[in-house]
Amino acid sequence: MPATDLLLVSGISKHFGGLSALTDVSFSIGRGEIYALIGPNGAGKTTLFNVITGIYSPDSGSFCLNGQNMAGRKASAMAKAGIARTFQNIRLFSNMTALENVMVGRHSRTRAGVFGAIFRNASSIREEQQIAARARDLLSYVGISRHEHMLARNLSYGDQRRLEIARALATDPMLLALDEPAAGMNHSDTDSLRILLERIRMDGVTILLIEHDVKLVMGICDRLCVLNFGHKIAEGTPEEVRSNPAVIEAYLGNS
Amino acid sequence: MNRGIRLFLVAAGLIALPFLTDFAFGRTWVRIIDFALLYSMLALGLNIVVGFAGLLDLGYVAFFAVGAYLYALLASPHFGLHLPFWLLLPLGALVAGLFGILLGAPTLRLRGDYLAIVTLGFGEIIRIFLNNLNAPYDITGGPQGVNLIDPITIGGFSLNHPLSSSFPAVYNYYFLFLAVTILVAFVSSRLQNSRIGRAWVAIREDEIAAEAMGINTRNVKLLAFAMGASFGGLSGTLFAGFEGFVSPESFTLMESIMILCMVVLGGMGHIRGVIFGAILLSILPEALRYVGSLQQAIFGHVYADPSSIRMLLFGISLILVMLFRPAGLWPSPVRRRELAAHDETARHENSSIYDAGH
Repeated sequence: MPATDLLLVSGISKHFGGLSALTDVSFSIGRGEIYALIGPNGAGKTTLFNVITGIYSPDSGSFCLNGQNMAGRKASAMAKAGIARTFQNIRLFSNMTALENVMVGRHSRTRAGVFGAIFRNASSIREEQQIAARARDLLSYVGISRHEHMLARNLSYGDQRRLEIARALATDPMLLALDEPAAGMNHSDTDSLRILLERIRMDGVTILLIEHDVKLVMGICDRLCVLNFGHKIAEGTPEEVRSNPAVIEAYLGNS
Repeated sequence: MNRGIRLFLVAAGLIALPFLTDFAFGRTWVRIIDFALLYSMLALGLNIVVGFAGLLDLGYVAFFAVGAYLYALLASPHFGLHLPFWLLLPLGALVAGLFGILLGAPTLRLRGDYLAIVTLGFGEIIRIFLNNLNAPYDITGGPQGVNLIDPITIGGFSLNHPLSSSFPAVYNYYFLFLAVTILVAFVSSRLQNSRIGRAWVAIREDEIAAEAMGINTRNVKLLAFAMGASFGGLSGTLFAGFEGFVSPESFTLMESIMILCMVVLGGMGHIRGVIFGAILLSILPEALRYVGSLQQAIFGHVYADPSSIRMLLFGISLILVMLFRPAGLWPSPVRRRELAAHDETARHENSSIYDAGH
């Protein structure tokens, strides 16, 4: 049923010199799904992520968001079209406050330019107030509003992860792409992350997730795709994937 | 102190400054202050590129040159053109801004050292062009530069005419330069606290993340180059009208480095700090000229020639500042804000320990 697909990825390949990082990868993500991407280290997960979010352009293949072909566009255009992301190694604007970080996320949804900045006309003042109000809402949404004036680099690790999610949500995404959001988190952090992700999904945002924490992935996602050496080796619900012999072999080696 | 009272005191001080300086140190020092204001505009312009957007530019003086030559060529006997000041001032900003985009566009993919080297090259290209465009057609006057430039004239009143014997021409220029500096500082501060300013800082902090958050980094960087360059152009037009003479010698790499020092020393990204740095660095070399008479007064003999020791002292003071205040003499208040937040956290933590004791 293509009408319900939010993201349709077909035949994506990407080479770096002689190394093929992705070979003919296809999958689709339905609206409102939590879709996970798993695989051993070096399987091509992050490369695929970077292609979908416009950091790399694919060598061949295409992908559509809402039926619109997006392959090869710039990262800023992806954000504008509705794909927001977080990074595996947190990339916050570390010398800006938490609030300012989220306010930057509103950039593509607002318009004030040099003229509005200098003359502060009524519409640019109103817009600036809306940006700040929305950013505060998002900080409290992810549960870190009490740190609003702290510099991002002084936040605790878990709060930095939350701030990255808030900043991504500020772009009003249809698809939120999270690159290992639970990396380095303890059990209670991971549990509250799971609750946050469920809530984001309930609020109508589709989630694409790369994650190493198998317990978290299996517990939260609706469907997942397994990559190994740049190839898709399995796709399906957690139950289907768990019993797939190819997946067991990829993770444990053949005995 | 009340904000209104403070504003009044600052205004009164700025109005009284040329009179007091003239009275205490002589008229030469009013001229030095005029130059300090020109440098403040330049430093504020470079601050947009280096301080806000984090793009290291070592050829910034090129935009100063563009503004200066624009005024020199269009308001002097060189081409026989005498366009009015009110037209040339915005035109200088506009043309310099276009040059900013022109020079910024090829450097968009470069960062850090590489960007610095390329901008350094561009700065030199502009200077060498100015030096050599006198043959086969004389456009820039070559190494001799352009002479007899019209003084700045506002509403039929030439600023070169003293208002009275106690109000000489340098005072006229002081008040004009002060007004433009305040305008430039105002525009800088408005830009800093805006959607555009946040996008610049985001690019400085992490360009890839900024792009991923929907900021078109190409456009936003070009905007930073253009805004920074236009402030340089403003300063250049004022400089040409003030000096009455321009030549390529005024636009060397040393000048670019000096302006960069003002920004870094004052406190990158902090408007007041940058103005402070500009004033300090334009006055310090002049003040160090007095080292000779100081030696004479203390030792009764001049041991070291002031002109040779001046740059040494200047260099040492720069090194000391960088060692002990690496964020600049007057860094931005973000740090202060951050410390306040820390205190609050500490208080929370202490109070919860106290609660636990009950």
